[in-house]
Parts: sequence; structure tokens; C-alpha cells
Amino acid sequence: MIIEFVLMAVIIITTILALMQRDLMKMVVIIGIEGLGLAFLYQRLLAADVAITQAILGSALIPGLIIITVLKTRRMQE
Amino acid sequence: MSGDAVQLWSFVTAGLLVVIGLYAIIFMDNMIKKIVGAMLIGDGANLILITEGFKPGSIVPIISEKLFNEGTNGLFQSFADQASNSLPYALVLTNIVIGASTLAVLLGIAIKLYQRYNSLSVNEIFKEESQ
Amino acid sequence: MNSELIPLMVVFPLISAIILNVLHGKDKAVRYYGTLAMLVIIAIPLLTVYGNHLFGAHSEISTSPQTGIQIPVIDLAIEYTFSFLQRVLVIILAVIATFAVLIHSGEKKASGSYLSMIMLSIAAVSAVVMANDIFNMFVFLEIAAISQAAIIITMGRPDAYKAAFKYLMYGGVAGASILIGIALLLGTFGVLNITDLHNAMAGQMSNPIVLTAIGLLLIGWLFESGLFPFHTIKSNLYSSAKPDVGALLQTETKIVLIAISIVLIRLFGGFSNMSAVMLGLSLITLVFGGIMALVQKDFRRLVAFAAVSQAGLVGLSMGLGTEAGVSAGIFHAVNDALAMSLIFITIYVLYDRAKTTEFSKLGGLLTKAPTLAFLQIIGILAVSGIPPFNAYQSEYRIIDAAFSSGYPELGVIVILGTILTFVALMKGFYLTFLKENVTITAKDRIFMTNKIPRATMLALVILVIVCIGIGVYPSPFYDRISDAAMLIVGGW
Repeated sequence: MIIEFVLMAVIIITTILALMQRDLMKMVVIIGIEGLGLAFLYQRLLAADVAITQAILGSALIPGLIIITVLKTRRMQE
Repeated sequence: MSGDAVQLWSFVTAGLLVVIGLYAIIFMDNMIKKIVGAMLIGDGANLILITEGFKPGSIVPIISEKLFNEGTNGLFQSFADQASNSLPYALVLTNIVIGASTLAVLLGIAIKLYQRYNSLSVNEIFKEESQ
Repeated sequence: MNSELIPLMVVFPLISAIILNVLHGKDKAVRYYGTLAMLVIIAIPLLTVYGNHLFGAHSEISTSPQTGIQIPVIDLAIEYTFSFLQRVLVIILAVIATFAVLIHSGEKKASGSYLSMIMLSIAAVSAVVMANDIFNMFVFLEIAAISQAAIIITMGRPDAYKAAFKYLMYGGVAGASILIGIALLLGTFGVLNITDLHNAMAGQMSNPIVLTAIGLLLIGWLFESGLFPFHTIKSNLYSSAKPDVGALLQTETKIVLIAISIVLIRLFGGFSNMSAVMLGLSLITLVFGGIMALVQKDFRRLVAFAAVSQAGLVGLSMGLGTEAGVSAGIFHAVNDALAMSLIFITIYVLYDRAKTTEFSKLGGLLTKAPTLAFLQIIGILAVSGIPPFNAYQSEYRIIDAAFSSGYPELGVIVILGTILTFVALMKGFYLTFLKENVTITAKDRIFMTNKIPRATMLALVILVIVCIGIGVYPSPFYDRISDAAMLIVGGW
């Protein structure tokens, strides 16, 4: 019962934290945590297949793409 | 029943995600943060759809092999009564992939713009848009 | 009964896109395959029989109690419809895309990835026109946005990246807005098929969730059609591309405008406020587009804003909500796509020879390229609604529809807006061809010849013939569009 509310709080807090970072690598890791929390929440809302997809895309693939972008540009926000 | 509270607060979380994403797109200066904002809006829309398919106190809408092999009319009927609505889940699967492709193209454009202007700040890049 | 060739109109361009991407780099193979694929793409809508196509699944049937006959209740399938309206829109899209592909094949280097993105946009817009299912339409709108951004990246001005970035950002937000609107409708009614939603909408006039969904869907419609708050984004898109594919992009935008307006009117035709909002914002676009076209210093941007202004005119006519308004709007979208393509392709020839389209660097080209000037004048007259051309027939019908809906002021504003477009285009023509530019230095001198390449000349001649043909004999064309409009508005 309470695990859904914990997950929702985690999602919102990590999102706000991520957008306040100046170091873009830290932001990517925190966005990865948010994607994983969202996948957990999908499973608790009884969407099993969507949870697997979100876990792969939202916490591995998309942060991977953003990390490649940050490596090719600059790491600290000016 | 706490299932209804879960549904209500899940809608609220999705709304908050959309608002935070919109704030990031409008007010943040770094291009990569704007792109992350676009991703957050997509995540909020997905969460709205999934919460709509959720029925409090029900079971995952996947038929196991054993149930399928011994399925008679009565068993499928009771499964259909108990499972959550699976149509919105199909829409979300498509939308996650669409969001990922748009994000990939946006990140590629961001790399190209950095190579040309040597800066990721939106004020810097778009400042000569006079018309 | 399934009409079998309908999915081919979406599947074949998709497969061609993959093949062309693989062939990228091999010049001759790309040229030949591109031309062959476009001939097939024009042939398929000509050969397809009218009908519906249900993908998979089956109708939920119930048995009539008296006679025992089984009747379909809901179609639990994704459905594509194909009637006269869809055939006309898909053929026009295919023809203008063929011009873009042929003109590109005639250049020095043929790029496979560029042609594959054109194919992808053809597949996406064809599916938007044919889909009878609101979620399918959303998916293909997103695909169309990505492919249009990719078109201007692969072959455009060096600062096309900035236009593409803004376009995709706004496109992502508008797409999410449409999706949340669809989610609200799904949650309230439980179906996604447009026919079923129309039936379920009967008593729901003051349901706040439905009103919110309408608002969100309208925001998505405004972005996809390039109307008021988003008019600069679409005009940036048209002017950042090479003008031959700019013709294709503005055709796609008008077709998508028609398709989404038809869906909105079928679903929400009973809500009078929605038509009023559509009409108001299109009116603002008509006027703003014309005014911004007057002050531009670059010919491509001027024509792009003229195209946006004409899209506002189409939206205005659809926003009237009556059967006459809808049929006049569809007719004008078709005519205007053809006439604007004529102007875009003449600007392509100018850009190809002179390598620039800024007015400060052009001037006095009438003696060097009289054929091009003549064709451009025909195009400008065609867009502005001068009698023997097609836009005259459609604008006349729009003003007629405005009068019969009880808004005679709209007729006056439509005429003023058209005059604005005409003046802006004539200003461009004057500064390019007629006025001698005394500020050109010797190193900026342009070498302009009167020779137009074969493929481009063929495209221009075909467009002029079609414009004059529809202008002189509009009836066989317009009457069937009018029948289709009667079915659309008829539910209300």
C-alpha cells in the first residue's frame, strides 16, 4: 500500500533535484533513478509488460544516449 | 479503499511531472535540460494513461499458460472480470518508443549545434534570430 | 470486406524508405529506385477500390432478437477508410512528392537518406488521412514531425539545425497535448474509433472532461497546421528547406490540417465554441501571415509566410462548421497546395542558379530569365484568386459559405487577406525581376541563364495545366468533395 506513495514521492523529488544540478553527469544518473522508479510504479499499477519496457528504455537506453551527448559536448553547465 | 487513493495520487503525480517538464522547457537555459523536460512531459502523459487502466484490487491482465490450457468459458469470464483494462497499456508501449526516437533525434541536433556554436546555452545560440 | 490495397499506401513508402537508406551513397541506384518507387506510389491510390480495411480482430456481433440475424455492434479493430476524399488527398501528395524527387534526382549528387525521409513523410501523412482511429492518427503525426525535421537537416541551409530543434521541441509538447486529450476521451468513453466516439458524444455537451480534451486537441491542431501562436515555427520550417521540398512540406501541412479538422468536426461538431475558436485563430493567422510576409527581406521567407497565411484561410473555412464551409475549405486546400507549389518550384530554380534569395543581392533578372519570370507571374496570379485559375473558384466558394453562415464581415476580411498575400508576392517579384539593383558590387554579380532543367520544366508545366484545368472546370471535382463534406458534417 505505502510503497506506491513512496515511489511517487521519489519520482517527484528526483525530478526536481535533477533539474537543479549544474553537473550534467549527475543529472543523467538522477534521471536514471527517476526512470527506474517510474518502472516500479507501472508494475504496482498492474502493467507488467509496460514496466519491462520502461525499465529498459527509461533507465538504460535514454540515460545512455544523454551520457553520449554530454561526453561529446561539455560536462558542466555554464 | 486505498486502491482509489493510489489512483488519485497517481494522477496528481502525472500532472506534476507534466508541469515540471513544461517549466524546464520554458525557463531552463541549457539545451540538454530542455530536452530532459520534453522527456518528462512524455513520462507524465504515459503515467496518466496507465493510471486510467488500473482497477483497484485486480490482477495483471496476462493469461498464464496453465489457465489458457484448461480454459473454459467460465474461467475466461472470471479472468476478464478481474483483470485491469489492458487497452491503455498498448498505447503507452507505442508512446514510449515514439518518445525515445524523438529524444534521440533531438540529442543529435544538440551535438551538431554544439559543434558549430561551441555552447549549449539557448540564449547564445538563438540570439541572432532577428526576424 | 477488406479492401486489400489500402495498407500498401502506407507500407510501400515505409519499405522504400528503408531500402533507400541502405542504398545511400550509390548514386545511380538511388536515382533509379527513387523514380520507380514514386511511380508506384502514384499508381496505388489510382488502383485501389473504395472501402474500409480492418486490421486484425473482428466485429463484436450481437444477434437481433426477432430474426436471429447477426448485426455488428462495435468494430473492435483499427480501421482505415478510403473514399474519394482520401484518394484525392493522397494523389496530390504523391504528385508533388514526385516533383520533389525528380528534381532532386536531376542534380549532381543524389542522397539516399534525403529521399528516404521524403518517403517516410509520405507514408506518415497518407496514414493520417486514412486512419479512422484517433490513436493511429496521433502516432503517424509524431512520425511525420520527425521525418520533416530530418528532411530539413539532411539537405537545407546551414542553420537548418536551429529550425529543426525548435520544431521538434514544440512538436513533442503538442504531441503530448494530443495524447493527454486522447487519454481523457478514452477514460470517459472507453473507445478510440472515431465512428464510435461520435455516437457516444451525443449528450455530453457540458461535460468538463470533454471540454478539456477539446482544448488540448485544439492546441495540437494549431501546432500541426502552423496557425496563430505557432506560425513562425512552420514558416521557419518551409524557409529552411530547399524550395522544391518546401513545396512538399507545405502540401503536407495543409493535408494534415484538413485531416485533423475533419476529425474534430466529426467528433465535436455540436460544440459551437470549438468552431468559433478555430475560426478566430485562423483569422488572426490569415492577417498576421500576410503582414509578416510584407516585411521580409528574403524571398524564401516571404513565400513561406504567404503559405502560412493561406493555411489560415483554409482553417477559417473549416472553422465555419457548415457543410458549405467544410467543402470549400477542402477544395481550397487542394488548389492552394498546387498553386503554392508552382511558386515554390520557381523559387527553387532561382535559388539553384543564383545561390541566394535575398533581395539585396537580386535585381533586374527579367532580361536574363524571361521564362522563369513568366512562370512565376502565373503562379502569383494562381495563388491570389484571379479568374482563369483554380484559387478563384475556391475563394469564391469560401466567401459564399461565409455569407450564408451569417458572417458577411468574414467575406470582406478574406478578400483583404488575399490582397495582402498578392501584394507581398508582387513585391518579391518586382524586387527580383523588374527593379535594377544598383547596390550590387561586381563580386556579387549573379550569372543567370534562361535554361530550366527538364524535370523542373515538366513539373511546372503540369502544375500550370492542372491549375487552369481546375479553374475552368471545377464541377466534377467540387461536387464529389461536397458530397464527402455532407457526410462529415451530417452527423450533427
